[in-house]
Amino acid sequence: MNSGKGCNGKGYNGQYLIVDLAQKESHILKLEDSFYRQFGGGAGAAIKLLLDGMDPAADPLGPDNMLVFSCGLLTGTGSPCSPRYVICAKSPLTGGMAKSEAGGWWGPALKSAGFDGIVVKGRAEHPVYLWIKDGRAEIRDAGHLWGRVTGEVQQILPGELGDPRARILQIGPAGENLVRYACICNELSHFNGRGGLGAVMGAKNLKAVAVSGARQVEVFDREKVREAARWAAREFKNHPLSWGLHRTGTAIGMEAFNAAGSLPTNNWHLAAFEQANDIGSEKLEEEVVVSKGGCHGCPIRCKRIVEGKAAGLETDRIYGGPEYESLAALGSNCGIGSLHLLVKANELCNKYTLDTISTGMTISFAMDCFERGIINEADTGGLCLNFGNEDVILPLIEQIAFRRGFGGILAEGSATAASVFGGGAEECLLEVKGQELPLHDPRTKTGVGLQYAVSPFGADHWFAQHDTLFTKADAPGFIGAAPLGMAEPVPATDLSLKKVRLIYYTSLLTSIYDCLGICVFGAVSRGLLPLPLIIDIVNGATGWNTNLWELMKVGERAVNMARVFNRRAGLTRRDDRLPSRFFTPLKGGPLDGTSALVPAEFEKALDLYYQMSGCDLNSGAPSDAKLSELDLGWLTEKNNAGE
Amino acid sequence: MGKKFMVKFYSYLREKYSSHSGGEEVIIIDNDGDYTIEDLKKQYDFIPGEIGCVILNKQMAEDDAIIQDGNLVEIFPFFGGG
Ligand code: SF4
Repeated sequence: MNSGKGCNGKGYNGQYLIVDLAQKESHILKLEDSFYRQFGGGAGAAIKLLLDGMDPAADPLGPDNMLVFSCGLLTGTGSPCSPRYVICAKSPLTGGMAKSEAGGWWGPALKSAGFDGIVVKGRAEHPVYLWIKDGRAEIRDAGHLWGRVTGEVQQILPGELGDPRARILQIGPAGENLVRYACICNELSHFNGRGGLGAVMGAKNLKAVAVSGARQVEVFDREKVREAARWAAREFKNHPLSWGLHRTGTAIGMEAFNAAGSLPTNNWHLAAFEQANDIGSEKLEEEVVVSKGGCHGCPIRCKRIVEGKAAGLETDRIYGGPEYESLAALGSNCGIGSLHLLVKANELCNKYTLDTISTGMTISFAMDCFERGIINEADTGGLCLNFGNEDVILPLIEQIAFRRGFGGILAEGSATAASVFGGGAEECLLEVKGQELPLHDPRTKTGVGLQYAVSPFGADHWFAQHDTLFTKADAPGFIGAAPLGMAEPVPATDLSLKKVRLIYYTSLLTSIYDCLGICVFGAVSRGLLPLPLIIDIVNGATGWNTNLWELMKVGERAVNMARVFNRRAGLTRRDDRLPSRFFTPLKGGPLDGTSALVPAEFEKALDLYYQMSGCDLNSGAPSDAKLSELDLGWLTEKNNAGE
Repeated sequence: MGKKFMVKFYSYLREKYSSHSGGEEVIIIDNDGDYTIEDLKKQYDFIPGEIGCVILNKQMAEDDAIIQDGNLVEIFPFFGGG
């Protein structure tokens, strides 16, 4: 990787820390400029390192899985809305590539500590944590931290390290107990939520990664980057989508989707929930929000910090607050309309590091099975899992996190639980590649359905952009995407070639963000940063002379490398499918009886997507020609080895 | 005769477009001709992309939907994926 051509060190450090937990040693991997220009950083760099360093057929919870933490190219440079890092590994939930991003301050701190990322190999004999400070790394004993919830570890570690500036990334008990949808948190309220990465960390006996750096990340033209940050700080107030996020957070989705008749309710049997307004953004603001929260270098501050005061359901503000996805997964989709209960449920998930989407969706799946008589109280340990039963939510979260009783089955994920239950339980499933769906209905946003199916990371609502951003010619999302060549608006429920192209192009755009460390909420089409400014920022940070074409290829490389990984792990086009529920009409709400997807149309759209993206129609994997075009020829042989 | 109907704004649209804290406005139109959602939108200085769904008497309403006397129009901010 280091042939001596060197690294200019502007915008990035040119090095990843490699940690072998079995050998109890670490060393530095030096990378050249060409690596960053080809793979960007973030997701692109992480997936490349995984393909180089592990066998995709490895057991995701075994020592041969690798865990890569990877900062975006712009992370920590002072660029606006760019705080993010990704974590990638083989997913214990999907069996393919897991990729999940988070914001906050941990990524920028790692970059300041002198590393663009960390590659963790092997498995420690005993629980350990990593302490990385100013270019040095230590593997330390974590016996005293194992079993503790996140809030405790967050309190203990900075003091123990004698560094109040240390930023803490960690897993709670759900990760330790290998719950297949355990997540990873940093600073208690930012989450790499999806793909079960917390279980991979738990399987490695790695409890936490503490980082601290005093050095400012070098950039090529600091004034240019600062000017962009000042522009964003001024302009977000004038951008309706960014301002909306600032004012209400994502919880407004509860009221908005309910009104639009697309709110997942009772395991997606219904599309509207009578108590939606009781658990939406307005009630949240009225009853529990104590302040706004945000991430490094982002003026939008879309997060909500909450403090529940209801008797028996008190919560601590250190754990942040629930997003729309959490309110819908644990709330409307389980028929739960008690805000204080949901705030508590969200806090418990954060304490234990459970992904709120998969947790809520797995509980709603079990409720559906219970209502249909597929399982009963003898199976559930006496719990009555009817939709809307408020008494079961907190006990089930506890049981899942600690793999107790019935929770031990649910901890395996809904797809595995369905095969344990039998009796037609698979009809209650709403997952793709084993990963439970985020809370956006493909019947009202067909492109979201397409991205759920084709995402190599399992059902993912930010594999591409959302249909509703592109339905009107004067919409900021549509205008902002003009440089991609989007000529005309496309209706949200269209599934023609225009929609396929929209999803294809914006999947590459979103992948660029994952490589650069840009938050999807901060940039076109969901946020304010326009594409020409993003290119200016990359050039300002690195001193490159890049353009949209080159960055699109960076994004495309990341997606295609993930597809090759999946192919080698045994996934095929058959895994790119949507649950049958979406081929039936919506029930309840203003769209009642409408909007069923048509199987033949959806298959045709899938065919077109593969053809547009240079993938094989049968395997869904990139063709050798596509890999060669992307300068990924080194993968063609490995790709064929998966045939 | 004209017509009288209610407009209800949700979330932060309230503070921008309603003079009442509950976000509810009674609108009285003097003429008898068709009055559409688009006509109503023109009364406000909405920023393009700011408005999400518009609900007319609990049904999804497109811009050409006609508002009748006694109707309730609910206006939600845009939510583009969270
Ligand atoms: S928009 Fe929200 S999640 Fe994204 S960087 Fe800003 S504060 Fe963080």
